[in-house]
Amino acid sequence: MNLTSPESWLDAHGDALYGYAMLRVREPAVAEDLVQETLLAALTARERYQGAASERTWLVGILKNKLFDHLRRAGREPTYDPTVDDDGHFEAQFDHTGHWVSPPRAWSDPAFVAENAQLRTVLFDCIGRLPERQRQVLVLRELDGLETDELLALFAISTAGNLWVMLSRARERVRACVELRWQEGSAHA
Amino acid sequence: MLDCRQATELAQAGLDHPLPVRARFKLALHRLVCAPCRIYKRQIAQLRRVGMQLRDSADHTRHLDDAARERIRARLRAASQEPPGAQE
Repeated sequence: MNLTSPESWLDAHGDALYGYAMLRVREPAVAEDLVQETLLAALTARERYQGAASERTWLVGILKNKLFDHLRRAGREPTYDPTVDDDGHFEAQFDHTGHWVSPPRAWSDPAFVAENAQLRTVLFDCIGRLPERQRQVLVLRELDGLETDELLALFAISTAGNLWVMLSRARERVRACVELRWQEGSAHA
Repeated sequence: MLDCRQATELAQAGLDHPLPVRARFKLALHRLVCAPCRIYKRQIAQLRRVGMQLRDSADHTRHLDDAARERIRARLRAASQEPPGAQE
């Protein structure tokens, strides 16, 4: 086993852990707490670390569990209405006959196939503009790959239907945002 | 015949659960005559693919500031000096 000291974890992985948490909780104080809890838990558990995963992967795994605990505690709102969050954004995309107000335009494929730094920046920015709960469920679904039943357990959303509406609205909002930013970007290119 | 709004709802729903055969058929029919909704289908597939590439990723524009880093460092240092098993 080749494990460095807890303080060097902070130096080597602190920013990565914090960035991971910030993409999912957005409040700096909460993200800081999560990083601290993660490193403390890692300190306690370090005898059990097998060295099979990289140190970073091991720490992110611990952080993920801390994050889920946090979301479970924070997400208890039984009377939550998923459509309220969206602020009419989805409806505003269509005119009264149900047609696109601003029809989607094709994005160039190569940029989307490659892991493109500019696209990632645009995407994170668009995700960051979502209302809190929409953003949380979207990131856990589309970036972390959680399934419906896992999300329902984490957020105490009453029905799968409500969750799916929330996800649809969130994804549509991100798509519209990326579309806008992408067209702006290619106009300058 | 679906309108674009309904087609969009169905396309989005299909990302979370399988659609009934009837809905899939209506959606396909709509896309036959609607270029924007064909583009839409590609866009959401592209975004999902990018999302998968970003699995477990972090927002690299965010960094611990010095004060936060020192708070955590002090806490870690204190916990390291506690006898084994005494940490939380």
